[in-house]
Formats: sequence, structure tokens, C-alpha cells
Amino acid sequence: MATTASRGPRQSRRAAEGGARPLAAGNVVKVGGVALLLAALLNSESLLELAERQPPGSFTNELGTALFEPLHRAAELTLLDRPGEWIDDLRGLNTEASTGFEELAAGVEPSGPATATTVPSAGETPATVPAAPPTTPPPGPPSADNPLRIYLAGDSLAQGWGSVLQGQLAESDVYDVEERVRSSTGLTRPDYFNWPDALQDDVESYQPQVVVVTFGGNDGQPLKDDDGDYHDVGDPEWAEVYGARTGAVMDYLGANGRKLIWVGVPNAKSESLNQRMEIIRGVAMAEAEKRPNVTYVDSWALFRGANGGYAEYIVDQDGVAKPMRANDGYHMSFTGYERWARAIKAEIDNQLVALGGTPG
Amino acid sequence: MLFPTIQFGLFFPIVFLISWLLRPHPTAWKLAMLAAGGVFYYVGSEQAKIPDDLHLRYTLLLFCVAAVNWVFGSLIHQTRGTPAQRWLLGLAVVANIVCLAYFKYYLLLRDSVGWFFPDADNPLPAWRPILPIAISFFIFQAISYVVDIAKGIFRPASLLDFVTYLSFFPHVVAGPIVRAREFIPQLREPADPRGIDAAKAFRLILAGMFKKVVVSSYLLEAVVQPVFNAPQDHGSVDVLLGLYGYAVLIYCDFSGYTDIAIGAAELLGIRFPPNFDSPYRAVTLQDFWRRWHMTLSRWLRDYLYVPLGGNRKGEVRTYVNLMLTMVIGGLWHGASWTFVVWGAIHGGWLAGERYFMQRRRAAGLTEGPATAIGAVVWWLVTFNVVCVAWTFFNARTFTLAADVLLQLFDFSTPSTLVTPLLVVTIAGMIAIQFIPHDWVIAAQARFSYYPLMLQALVLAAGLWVVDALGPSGVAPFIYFQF
Repeated sequence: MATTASRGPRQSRRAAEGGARPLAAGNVVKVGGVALLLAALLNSESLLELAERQPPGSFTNELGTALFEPLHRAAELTLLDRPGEWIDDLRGLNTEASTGFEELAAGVEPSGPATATTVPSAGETPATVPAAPPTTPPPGPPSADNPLRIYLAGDSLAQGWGSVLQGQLAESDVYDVEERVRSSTGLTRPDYFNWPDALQDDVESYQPQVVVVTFGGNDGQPLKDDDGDYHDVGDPEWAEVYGARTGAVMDYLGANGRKLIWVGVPNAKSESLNQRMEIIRGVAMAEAEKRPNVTYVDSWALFRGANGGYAEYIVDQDGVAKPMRANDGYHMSFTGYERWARAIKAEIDNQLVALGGTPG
Repeated sequence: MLFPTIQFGLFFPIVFLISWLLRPHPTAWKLAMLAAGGVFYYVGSEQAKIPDDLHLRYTLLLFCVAAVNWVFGSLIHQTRGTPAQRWLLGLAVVANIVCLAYFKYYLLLRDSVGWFFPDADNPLPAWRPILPIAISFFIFQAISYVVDIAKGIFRPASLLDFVTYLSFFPHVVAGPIVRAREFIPQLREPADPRGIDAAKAFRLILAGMFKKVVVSSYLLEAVVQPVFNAPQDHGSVDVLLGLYGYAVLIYCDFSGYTDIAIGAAELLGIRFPPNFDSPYRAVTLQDFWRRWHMTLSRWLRDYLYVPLGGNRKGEVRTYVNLMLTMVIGGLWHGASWTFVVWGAIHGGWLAGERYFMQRRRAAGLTEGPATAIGAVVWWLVTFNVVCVAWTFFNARTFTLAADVLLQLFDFSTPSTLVTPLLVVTIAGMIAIQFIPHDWVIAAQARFSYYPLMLQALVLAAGLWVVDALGPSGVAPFIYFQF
């Protein structure tokens, strides 16, 4: 089995394309095995990281760690981990860099009447003060000449309601909207996408008066604290670290007179996902309650069925039962996003009215 | 199971070893492939975020569909030449379509019925079936099996052969749509463990991973998502790049996936038909459909267009048949009226092209472009028609599609997404479609004569590049993809 097929009498039954030399299965194992081993050494850091992210104590976590830890040590010894680091540096990715939540929570004096107090943390720098730049005071009530500056941000859920909401807001000149959405992101994985950095960049450049965000849909997974320890959803440490991050983001986005509308996660059809989302909802609601300038939109209640649980169909404002959810049992259908966007727009309009404007 | 994941990286070497160890024992090999197919489909359901309680049920559904179609195939064969055969064939096709329609189109039907009852309760029950992964693929393959038996061009397979075919893991989730008569005869031939076209398999797997993990992910974030999410925020150049970027993205995503499928099957000693052949070099839409998702195109041709009458029933019927085929092809891709419009654009343009070609023939002109400049113009027109149609494919609503297309003419909003890397990526991925296939095959053949360790080094470097340039660790298996 391990010999390379030669041309002539022993030629394989099926000709390889373009006169290529076919390989014997044993040689495919050799080539594939060496290639996979070498590639695994070159990528050992990301593989180990991946294994460590699996739920602590799970089969995949233990098997992956057992496999990739020695591999990573071997890569460090042979310097085979270096090329990956160089590429990461070139791409501006640095897994050892700060999560960004500390910077978000530090450095600028609090201002405005309704800013945050100290936020508890576990293994993280306490989020003591908001770090937001002062919002330029509006010259007068929002109007077509002086539109209300609204910043939308978050994950794929925000992408869903965001696109519908933008359509609703575009019907009036009194709103001006900027948006940054990125699917598959959240607050547990700043190494994958650093929301603190992105939020600071956007807020500093755009100076919004109202911020609307959704985070959490992708956060039902283990997170790494500042000490490098992983905690799984459901652990008290997880809730503590996640709460600290959520609080830091709320403090920053809600500082300096800005209105923050935190759009919470909805329920899910899958029981295990639903449990994780319930924990995330509890953490975010608790953090929002501590901050008077944060309005929490309870999406869970908005999309709850008559029995109090997950429902595909919800009776909408016109009294008609409509399909609200997407095929994956979590995201929304277009109708669902319309319902969501209406609820969010109502909160934006409350703020508009509070500032003396007239909703469009 | 998704291909570019660690799970597949561990799964495939094990299956490869078992496969070649068991290949001399056909029954054991088929049972092993059945088990592998079941595991692959089950894990794929998990990764697609289908609710937990449905993973096993839907895996069993795949095997049930296989068993039911095998019974139909046997009965159709036994009743050959009798009126019962037509009834059985009709019943088999209807049963498959009802199964597909129930899972995939019920909601669209209910929504559409709801248009006529705006102020009253919808008469259809408020129920939303969760779509099993790959159902469109395995239902189409099952239909081709029973139809081929009815036509007498294929004899019924054994139950084990047929279930192995339908659940064979490289093609079960996203094609290519392999026909039973292409696959099952390969099970009957003894496979030679010395004759694996590894160079082709390695090339396809690496190219597929690069397209899917690196290019597709990059374009999604760099231009497609921003443009389609908020077209009004972007200038005309951004939107144009968004349209072209989406054309490249969907090609890379889909052809990348099927490249990996074809390569993985090749390593297991099973040859699949090609599925993509540089579609963006096409100079007519008809040419495009000979190059894009080729296994679907020929399925639609053989099991829909031809049975509808094809071009045998006069000029008008030919145009109607073209339109119907493409509209149904659109619906196959997704249960939304935007997919119908996507299909209708293709059907309409194909009909127009056919009319135009006939007039050219009648005038004594060549069917294709006569000059190099003419070829460029034809190519540009075809490519842009395809891109406009993709807008409806990607947009959730007609309003969004219209917003995107109208924004092409907004020259006042600044275009902020344009970067050299973005332009080079889009242009480069279109340009490589013009590389002669012979060159690729020659390079592949040269690679096959490299020493084994050099082959391994090249492969390792390719895998490393994919990982290094892809999204940090490849999003689908790091972050939940809802």
C-alpha cells in the first residue's frame, strides 16, 4: 500500500488528471500527515487557544489541550511559532494585547449627572470612570438642520434590526445615523474583534447623542480573564468578568450626556443556547439598572410567546400573528426585525422629544 | 460538519485510513461510509445551529428519504412498461417535492397567502418548520435516481449502495449534485489504493480553503456587509465594489466548498463531476450557466427544462420553459420572492440572448463575438447582468435591493471603503478565471512528481497561509455563527 504507483503494467485503473503521478494511499498518509503536523506546529498557538476556549472540562477541551499544548511547546522550541506571530503583527493582531476594556474605563474624568459608579471586576482593572470624550453640546433641539446623531453598533442581531431601523429613520431628516456592525462578535472575544477600540474610534469621530447597541448573541462561550484563566458561562467568575466588561462599555457609551439604548438579547429555541442567553440577559439588565442613563430594551419580552417561552409566531401590533424568527431558532425574520426596530425607534424618539425635537 | 474546521481536520484523516483499510471489503466500506455520513450530517446540523432535539431526527430523515426513494426506484423498475410506472414515478416526484416544500417553502406560502388576508387571521396554521441542512441537495439527487430508473438509463441499486450514495459525506451538505449513475458504478469497481490523484485533490482542497476562508471572509467584512447593510451610507464606487465583491464572494464561498468536497472524495477514491469552471469568464449568460454550479445546471436541464418540452415545442414555449426553469432554479436557492426575481432576471436574459443569437444566425453572423473588442463588450455586459441579479440574491427585501442599485448613481456620498487591497482582491479573483485550465493541470502534474517531502512542505505552507490570512482562527468554529 505504501508504494508509489508507477507507469506501465501496474498503472492505476483511473488515470490521474493531466498525466500526473498518482499516489498510493500510504504515501498520501505520509504527505498529508507531515503537512498537517507541520501546519499544526506553525499554527499551534491558535490551535491551543481554540482548545482552551472549549467549555472547561469538556471532551474537546481536554483532548484539544492534551494534543496542542505539547505541540505548542515544540513549536516554541523550534521557533516554528514565529512566522505566525510575524503575520499577526503585520495584520495588527496581537493575542497578548490588552482587551481594551481597561482603556475604555480609564483616563477621562466623569462628567454629566448620570454617569457610572465603580463597576466590580474579577481579574480585571475596575471600571472606575467613563473614558468618553465630551459630546459637543447641540446648538438647539434636533431638527433637519441639526439632526440627532445616532450611532448603532453590535453583532449580527444589530445588523438585522439596524438595517430596518435605518430605513425607518431615513424617512425623516431629523435623524443622522452612523453604524458599525460586525457579525460573530461580542464582548467575550476582544482578541477576535476589539469592540472597545472600535467604539472609542467611532464615538470620538462621530460624537453621537444617542447610542444603540446589541451585544451578547455570540457571548455564550468561555471567556479569558486578565490572568489568562478561562471561565465558562454559568460560573460566577464568568458573570463577574462579563458584567465588568458590559458595565465598562455602558459607562463609556453613556457618558457625557449621551443616551445609551442597550438592546438586550432575545430568547432562543435551543434549550442550551436559551440558558446561556438568559444569563447574558440577567447580567446586562443588572448592569443597566445601575445606570439611569441606560435604557434596556427587553427583547426577551418583546419576542416571548403566549406561553412565556420561545415562539415562532407573535401577534404583532396589527393583531395578526406573524413569523418572527429565522430558521436557526435565534435570529429574526424580516418581520421580526421590523417589530424590533419599531421598539427601538420608540426609545430613540423618547430621547428626541426630551431634547426638544419632533419625531419623524 | 463544515469543511474548514478543526473537527473536519480530525475527522477526515481517520475516515481516510478506515476507508482504504476497508476498501477491499465493499460491504464493510459502505457501512463505514454510512456511519461517517451520519456523523458528518449530525455535526453539520449542530454547526448550523439547528435546535438540539432535531439533530438526530434530521439525520434519520436523510436516511428515511434514501430508503423511501430506494423503494420507489425498485417499484418503478418492476413496473416498467405498465401504466403503474408513470403513477409511481409521479408519486415519487410529488412525495419528494412535498417533503422539500414542507420544510423549505411553507413559510413563504403562508406569508404570501397572508397578503390576501391583511386584516384577518391567516387560514394557514402558524407553524414554522426548521429547515434541515442540505435537504435541497439530497431531494434533487433522489429525484434524479427515480427518474433515471423510469427512463431506463439506470438500474436500481442495492439499498446499501443507494443510502451510501445519498449520505456520502463529501457531497451530502452542499453538493455537488452527483447522480446515482455517476456514483454507484464506482462502488462496484475495485478501487486501487495505488492510484489516488492526490495532486488534484490537494490542489482542490487548498484552493477551496483559500477561497472560502480567506477571500470570502475578507470580502464579506471589507465591502459586502457594509454596502448591503446600509447602502445609503456609501458612494457609488463603494456600491459598485460591493456588487462586484459579492459576485466574487459567492463564487469563492460556494466553489470553495465544492472544491473541498471534490478533493476529499478524490482522496477516498470516488470521482465527482466538476462544479465550477471559471464562470466569470463567460461572454454570454448561457455560457455562464455552463460554468456556474454545473451539476445544478445540468439537473435543471435534464429533469426540468427537457421534461417541460425544452426547445422542441416551438419558439414561445422555449422562452416560457427557459423562464420557468430559471424561476424554479431561483426558488431552489431560497424561499423568498427575491430569489424568484433573481431566477427571472436570468430566465429573461437567457430568453433574450436566445432570440438575439437566432437573429444573428439568420443574418449570417457568428453566434459569438467576432472581434476581441466585441468579446470584451459581451463579457462586460454578461458580468454586470450577473452582478445585478446577485443583488436580489443577497438582499433580504426588494426595497434593499432597489436601495443598493439606486445608490450606484449617488455620486455625492463619499466612497470610503475603497482600498488597494480590496480592488486587487476583487480584480485578481476575476482575472484568475482567465488562466487557461491547461496551465493549472500542468502545474498540478509537475507538483505530483515532486519528492513526497517537498509535496508535504508545499501543502503545509498552503494550510498555514490559509490560517494566517483567514479571520482570526476562522470565525465559524471560534464564534457561533447564527
